[in-house]
Amino acid sequence: MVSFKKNWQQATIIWVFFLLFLIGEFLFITAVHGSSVILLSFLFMTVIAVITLIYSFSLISKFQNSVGIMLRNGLMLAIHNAPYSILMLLITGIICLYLPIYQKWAGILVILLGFSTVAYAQSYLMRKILVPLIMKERKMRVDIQLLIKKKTLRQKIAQMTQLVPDFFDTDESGVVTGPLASFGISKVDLAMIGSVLGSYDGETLYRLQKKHMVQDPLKIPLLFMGDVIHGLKTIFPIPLALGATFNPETVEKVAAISAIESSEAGLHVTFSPMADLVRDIRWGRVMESTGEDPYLNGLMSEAFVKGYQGTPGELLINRYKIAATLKHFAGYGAVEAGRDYTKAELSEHSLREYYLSGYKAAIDAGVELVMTAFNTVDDIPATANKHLMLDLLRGELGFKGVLISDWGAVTELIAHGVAADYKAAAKLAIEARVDIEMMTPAYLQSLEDLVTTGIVSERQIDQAVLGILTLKEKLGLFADPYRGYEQQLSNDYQFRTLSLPHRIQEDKLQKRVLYYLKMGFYH
Amino acid sequence: MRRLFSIDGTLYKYMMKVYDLIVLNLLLIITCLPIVTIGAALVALYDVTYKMQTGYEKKVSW
Repeated sequence: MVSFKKNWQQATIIWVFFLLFLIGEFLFITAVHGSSVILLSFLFMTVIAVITLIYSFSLISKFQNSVGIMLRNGLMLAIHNAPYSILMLLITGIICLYLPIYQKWAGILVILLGFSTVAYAQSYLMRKILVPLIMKERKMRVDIQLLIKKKTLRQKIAQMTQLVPDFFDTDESGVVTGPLASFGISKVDLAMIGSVLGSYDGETLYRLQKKHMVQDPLKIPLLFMGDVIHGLKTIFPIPLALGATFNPETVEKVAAISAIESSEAGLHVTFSPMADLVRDIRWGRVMESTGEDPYLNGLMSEAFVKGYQGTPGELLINRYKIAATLKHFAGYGAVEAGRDYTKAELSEHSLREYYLSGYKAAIDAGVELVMTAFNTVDDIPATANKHLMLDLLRGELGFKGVLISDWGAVTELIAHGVAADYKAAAKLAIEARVDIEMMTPAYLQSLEDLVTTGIVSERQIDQAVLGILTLKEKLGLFADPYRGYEQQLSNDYQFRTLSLPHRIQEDKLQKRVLYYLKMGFYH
Repeated sequence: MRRLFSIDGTLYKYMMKVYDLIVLNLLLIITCLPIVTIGAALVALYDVTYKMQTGYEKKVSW
């Protein structure tokens, strides 16, 4: 009912206008007993007024404008989309006028749910009109296919690599030192890197992006990711405690607040939610999971995704939403004896019966990224596991977004003993369609070779880059590489980080969780 | 047949939607009674039905 409070003023003004208009018409007609010409023209005016009313009422809650402009836009849209307008009027006329008057039996149905059904149908049509408008407003039409064609192979591979900001702080003379040198990455590669992780400082990230937009030959903005698990500045209870509240709506609020604070810190993507089911308390990351129940994990991971990302398409128009990463696919919490990075002994049955539901719910909720797990499943490391990534994730579960490796998980394939060197590791990972390699240079050092020798096709690379660039477009980065950060530079920007509503929500939750703890709800 | 009536089933999903619409309708009628408030009531109605399209509605019913 927030919208009821917020927009009632404008709505009432428009409504009173409309009422006066109707009364005026009625008085005129009764006074004059006019000819059919006058009646018809009055009818026409009423129809126009009604359709304008429908449009402007739909606009009020979505755009901030004065009443006059709202009415004008409503009328313009109504005329511009005449077929839709006629359809809307027909639906309204049939359900609100024809049925109750001429089909008395339907009257009760109309009173029961007729008006809301009409509004529902109108909103459906309205969405078709408004979504393209909003998209256009953001000028987001970048031709990604063309961009990929322009990229050299080297640029594509750099796009698939993710590093921490330390790498970028080389001195201006261009001398490559420290981690850069040992990674075998040149400054030229650095200028074309696709994404950065692990900085939570807006200023650093802003500076990095600014420099990158000058240096990158194709001006493709960097993607900034980070671990925001249970709040960034306003810290909420750990995910395990959040799970134990059994309250997905609360979790959605937590995620929404985290998204706002992350966005103000310059981030675009968070590595949350972790939907790994866990039943072995010896594992070190138990507290990062929402628990041991497949159904509850599903509800929670869905709530997290909705809180971070908002409605489908909202990432583009709302800078206070960030993309979520579902992790860790798959069975990360099932490792033997709780030993992290080792093997998970999972039958196909228990994988499907207990472990997949948490992941599935997040994917159905439209999560943009998925992270691979460190462990092995059926003795094949998840990061190189084609059955998991191709058959299950991209196949059955229908995931369409970006698949990112966990920290160093691609070269971890060597430690697992399935790859001899970087080259073999890169081949295995790209074959499992891992799009972004985090913090290791296997892709950068060997993918080019693999493509030129024909072991990996360039189409596989293009596929990965397409995913990454699509994500950047969805976040509105091509329209604004800073994603609204620049408005924070002005003095009168009101920071929402650690604001009162955030802290109240946090306080409420902490108390509730402590209460549960005291009452012995956790065992 | 059992699938048809299950909580995850299609029937249940749509019936929930119908139920939401009924509650919404009732709220609309109540908030429309003092005539002047019809404008605000309609805006709220459109806002909720629009959000229902995107699957991001808060629960209409409680």
